Amino acid sequence: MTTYQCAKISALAGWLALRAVAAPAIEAPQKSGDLKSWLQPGNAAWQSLPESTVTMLPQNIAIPNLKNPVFQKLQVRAVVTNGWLCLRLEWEDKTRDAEVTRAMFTDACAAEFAVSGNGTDTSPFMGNPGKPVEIVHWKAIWQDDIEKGYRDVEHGYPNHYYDYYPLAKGKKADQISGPALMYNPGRYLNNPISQTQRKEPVEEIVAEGFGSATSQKHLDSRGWGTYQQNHWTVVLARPLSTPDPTDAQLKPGTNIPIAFALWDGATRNRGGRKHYAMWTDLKIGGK
Amino acid sequence: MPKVFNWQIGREMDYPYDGARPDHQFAYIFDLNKCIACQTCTIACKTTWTAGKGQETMLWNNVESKPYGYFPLGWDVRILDMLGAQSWDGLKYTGKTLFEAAEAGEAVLGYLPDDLDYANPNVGEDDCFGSELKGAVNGVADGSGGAYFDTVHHSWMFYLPRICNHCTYPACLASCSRKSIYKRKMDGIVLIDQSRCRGYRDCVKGCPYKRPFYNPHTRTSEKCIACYPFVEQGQQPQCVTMCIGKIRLAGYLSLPEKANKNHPMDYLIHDQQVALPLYPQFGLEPNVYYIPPVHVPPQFLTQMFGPRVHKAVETYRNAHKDPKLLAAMMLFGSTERILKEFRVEKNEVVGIDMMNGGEAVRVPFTEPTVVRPFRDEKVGAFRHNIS
Ligand code: SF4
Ligand code: SF4
Repeated sequence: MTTYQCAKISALAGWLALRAVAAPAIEAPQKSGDLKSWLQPGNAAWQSLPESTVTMLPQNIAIPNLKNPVFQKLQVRAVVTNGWLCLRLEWEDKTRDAEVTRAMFTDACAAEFAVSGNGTDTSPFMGNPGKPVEIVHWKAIWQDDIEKGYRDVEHGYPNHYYDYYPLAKGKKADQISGPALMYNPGRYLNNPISQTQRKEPVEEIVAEGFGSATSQKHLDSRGWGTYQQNHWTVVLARPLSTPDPTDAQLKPGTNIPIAFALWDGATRNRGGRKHYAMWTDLKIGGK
Repeated sequence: MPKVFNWQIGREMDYPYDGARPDHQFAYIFDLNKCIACQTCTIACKTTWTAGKGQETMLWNNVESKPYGYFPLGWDVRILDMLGAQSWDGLKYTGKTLFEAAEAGEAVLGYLPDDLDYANPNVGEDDCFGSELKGAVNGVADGSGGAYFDTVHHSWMFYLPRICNHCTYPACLASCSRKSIYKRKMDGIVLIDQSRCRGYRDCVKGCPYKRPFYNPHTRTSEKCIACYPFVEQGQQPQCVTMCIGKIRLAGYLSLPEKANKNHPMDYLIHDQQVALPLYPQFGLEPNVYYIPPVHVPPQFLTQMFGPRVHKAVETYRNAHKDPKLLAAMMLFGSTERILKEFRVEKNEVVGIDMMNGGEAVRVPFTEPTVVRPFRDEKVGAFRHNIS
């Protein structure tokens, strides 16, 4: 990034960080019940919790911008249960996009925390150098990887035919290993994006500014999403406290800043081409 | 935005990063008059690097028939159309480069190809070339059109082999918001860090030559790596050494003002100016240089290779009169080694190895002809042509 771009971004980020206080607060009351049931987006207990509406805006600060936004708002409910914070994100999306071919992208959402717990010292736009943010990121394609098996060439291109892959035991993802991975450098290098054996549809990211997002090796968070009647409902859950120094530590009875992002696969949202929300106050229930 | 100097367009231009040229720039020359579209280069590359899952329609090297062949479909006409009029004032480009023409909020003017644009490489692209009898006199084709097209130009075509240009100002690199793409300081080779890429495909969108490809199995983008493990050992890439037509030469290229006349790359590109960049007006300073096909109409060649093309065609047509020029061109496909110098010795050209300074190759101007008598006295038999 050039000096000029940096200067422009930090000026804007400072201004936006100050504005954070104005947004309506999200309440996360403390409730009983096990994590497994709260992880179900359709669990009726969610309906009894207060709902907040968060305004979503097109990302137009860092290059590349999102030109044609499709989401204006996001409904958020939150709960604290058994040492976990669960966030239920619901938004209207006319198409379910999870298959990834060369020209398609996946739907996705994310919640962001300031690692310091202080929203005035870091930017909701991927943090600032030395002032990291932690992001819990869910993708529709990861959900499908777990529910239906790794989404692969044969799913994007069902009639595709290829004789064989050199040194592989077969054509399925799990039959391609060892020396055969020389033709799959992303997998060979353990790029987290190339993981074929995902356990959770979420990952944790730490970032200190645009372009610096890095997947955390240690995953504490969980998640689950469902798509019904043109709506995605996704639960993101993370322990209040974690052993990870690059995670935010959440204390019951405090207010912390939280921000969100949404991606629409159908209109080719990815990376910085996304919808974002500013810092909002999250009231963490309990003592 | 910082300004950088691009010698191919004779001026400074906007680029998202400060200019930092590599210590050495790896470059290629392809002689388009010699390519026969055998696709040996394509297969050499495919078997070496892209035989894996997710790489099925990935062609780091492809050969297309111009003017109607493209991979991916329409790659150059689409971006030329988006860019609009491209004007030159002598050797200075006065139109906009792709960086200067970028819309607000974008690093570069570009587009993401559709999935089907990759579906049918080479299919049907030769069908329209002059084999028809339309306009024929007494059953003899006049070569005025194509089999299916009614409104086309006179019958001409050529094969265009394409790889990543390892650009001095890569648009792929400029487009990547994650900074997963880097240009190596040692040799200028442009690489996508496969441990960092998250498959956003902004490089695919941004590269006008459409050389990065998305891999749906690893969910990352991949591109030509200039066979860097070979290059690091002083050896030319696979597509170069395997080329049946011997149309390719690869090695290090100096800046114009530092050109060494005895270095085959510098000599052909800077001194003789017989090899030219592809679409220099895009502003990327690409490092694959093409000897233009001499039979193609000048307007088309100018659009594709810039204003130097007429002189290049003339130089090439007169190459038979210039032993040094001929000598340099005879080095194509003659050795696997990367050369640093060449010299003419009587009726031979000698290529000097870049790494060890020794003689890498010696090629005669004219291969000696041996006529064998019809009867082989040693074995007491006639030599029939029975092969
Ligand atoms: S191997 Fe050489 S002659 Fe054959 S298609 Fe490739 S560049 Fe052309
Ligand atoms: S040709 Fe395309 S992929 Fe290769 S360096 Fe240039 S911009 Fe990047």
